[in-house]
Amino acid sequence: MKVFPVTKLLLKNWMRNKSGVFFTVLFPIMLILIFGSIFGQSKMSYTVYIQNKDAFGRNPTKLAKEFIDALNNTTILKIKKLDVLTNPKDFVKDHLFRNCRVIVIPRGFQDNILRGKEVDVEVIGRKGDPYFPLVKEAVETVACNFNLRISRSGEVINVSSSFTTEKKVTTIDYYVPSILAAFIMVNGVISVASSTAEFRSKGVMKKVMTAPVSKYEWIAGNLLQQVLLAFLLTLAMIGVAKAAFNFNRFLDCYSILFIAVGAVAFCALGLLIGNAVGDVEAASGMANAIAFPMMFLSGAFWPVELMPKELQFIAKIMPLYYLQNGLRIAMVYGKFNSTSFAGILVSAIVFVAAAVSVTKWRVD
Amino acid sequence: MDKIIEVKNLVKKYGDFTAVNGLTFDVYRGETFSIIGPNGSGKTTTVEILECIRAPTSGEVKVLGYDVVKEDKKIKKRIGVLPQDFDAFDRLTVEENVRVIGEMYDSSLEVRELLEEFGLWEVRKRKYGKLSGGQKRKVGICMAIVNDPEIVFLDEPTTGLDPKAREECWSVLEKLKDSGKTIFLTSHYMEEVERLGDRVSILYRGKMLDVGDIEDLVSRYGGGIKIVIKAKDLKYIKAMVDTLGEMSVDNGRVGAGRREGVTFIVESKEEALELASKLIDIGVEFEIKEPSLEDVFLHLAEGVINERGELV
Ligand SMILES: Nc1ncnc2c1ncn2[C@@H]1O[C@H](COP(=O)(O)OP(=O)(O)OP(=O)(O)O)[C@@H](O)[C@H]1O
Ligand SMILES: [Mg+2]
Repeated sequence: MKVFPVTKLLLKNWMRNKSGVFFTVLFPIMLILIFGSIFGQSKMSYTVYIQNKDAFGRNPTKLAKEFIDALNNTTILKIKKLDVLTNPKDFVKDHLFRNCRVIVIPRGFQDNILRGKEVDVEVIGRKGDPYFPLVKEAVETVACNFNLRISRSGEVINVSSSFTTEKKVTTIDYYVPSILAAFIMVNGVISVASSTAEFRSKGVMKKVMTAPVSKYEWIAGNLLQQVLLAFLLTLAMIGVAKAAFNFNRFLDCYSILFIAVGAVAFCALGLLIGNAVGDVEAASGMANAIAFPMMFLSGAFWPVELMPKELQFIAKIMPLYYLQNGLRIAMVYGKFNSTSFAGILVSAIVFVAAAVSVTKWRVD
Repeated sequence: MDKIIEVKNLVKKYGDFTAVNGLTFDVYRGETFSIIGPNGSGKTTTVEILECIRAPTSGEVKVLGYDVVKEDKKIKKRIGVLPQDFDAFDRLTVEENVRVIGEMYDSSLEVRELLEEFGLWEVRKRKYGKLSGGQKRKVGICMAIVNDPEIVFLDEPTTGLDPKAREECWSVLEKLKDSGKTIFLTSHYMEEVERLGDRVSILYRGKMLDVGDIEDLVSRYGGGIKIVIKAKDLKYIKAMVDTLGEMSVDNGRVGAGRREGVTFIVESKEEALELASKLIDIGVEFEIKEPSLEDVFLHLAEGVINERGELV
């Protein structure tokens, strides 16, 4: 197994390249510091529409109002009103921005609660909305607390005052995983593509090819190097975010999984470009042309939900969308988003297979 | 003798273009075998097929007794390579460059000894990118032999170097030759091949014009010893040719009178000395030129290779 010598060689070569080190680690950290200082204190929230059918004319019943206030107090949800005439399912479907959710408070909400009967609060969302579970969870928490208060004392007046959620999501929570994901991609695609093309043009690639190192070992060595660099970047970013902005998320096994698979996918894409395009300049040009649009379209700097429909579609065919989405859900909420994981895993498999097939250890 | 490389009817086509056209030759253990040929004659193509990094179109090629297509792993462990126009990792130091390649093999030479041997130990901490051309090439040679290979392939090891650096490189390669390794060298410098090579093959447009001991080839195709008389006055030359024509030695032919003088070509050293003494007697300035590989090449390929590797 000659994987480790390859990785060692690549790491050494990387370490000596000052601009490489700058763009791999320092630049993303600078971005975090800039974004954090501009937006760091503002809180992250998800827009939710409430359709309240429990009202006298324009005024909601007392309990319905308290329920809505309680939802509002969670801070994770940003509440908007939806009139009762709209069909909530159609509203979700037709809404220009995807991934909006509607909470329907049924008619007779107050009466039924007071009589001790069950009421159904419906949360409607779009299939595949990665934040839907979070929204639903928030609503469930609110409902659960509501129920507790009512059954314990029969007193329903004071419900709202004790409400908070543990998860206050700030902008920095959004940006750390997003920028991390974006730079795992940039490092893989741009630096691997240009170094591969450079090695090929200088003859060091030939030198490695004549050594008893197989192309699989060479590729694996590259992948391992990028995985290690991705974790180095992760630790540096978390450290800086912690020191500067009290960022309090840690790496759990889901985030580790996303980071590793993401680094593999984008390193393989870099290898693919570096091997398929002969010329050094052309290879790095092409890598840039792929990496930059992907970075801006995949929700690394602003949520995909805020983009027009067409762009959202484009975002969702980009592997980076799945990495940054999955990584954010893992890092911030500690949850495993299987759609995102499937997206990045499939990308990794496809890119590795393509990189293997374009890497020629014996030329024609 | 032990055949270390066996090549039979090797053909390499790039699309419709035949770059290597039916080569057959053997290389024996311990010798320095050179391929000399102008640009585009197929040297690199041939070497890379032997190094197992280029696929042959047809023919049978064995290195160390193994087939280059099917048993490349076994071959790669035991050969060392300096690719053409090789440039190592610019940002790594001399020592690191040699070490990282050494680590790709199961066993490697003591790097310190190797660098000391090549006079590179003093610059071991210097970045490869900051070295002179000659030093770079020496590092490349170190990287080619760090695994203590049985065969060393050197593809144009001194091309692009200034004469001083080339000279330094040659003395390094002579040491390598003396260590008993089999060396496979390609070049377009006649001087390099004459100095380092035991046997040489002359490659031209993908065909091997001949192969053999350098001395054999020179005596076969070199065309005798030349005695060149330098004179500017054509009338004077004519008169002299007339006189010498009568007193000329047996077998001595008067070569084509070029503008710069007259060339006599004789077959043996004795004849040359005889003619020389006559010329001294009549007080004529002259120069003796022994036949060289260049003459062999001129004879076979009808041209000479210039400094840039072009056939002219
Ligand atoms: N990958 C390739 N595709 C097509 N043609 C090629 C390829 N590689 C080499 N050739 C052609 O094959 C011929 C032989 O090339 P090769 O590099 O083997 O020559 P060489 O003797 O090493 O020349 P030089 O002294 O310039 O290094 C040349 O005409 C070259 O243009
Ligand atoms: Mg060549």
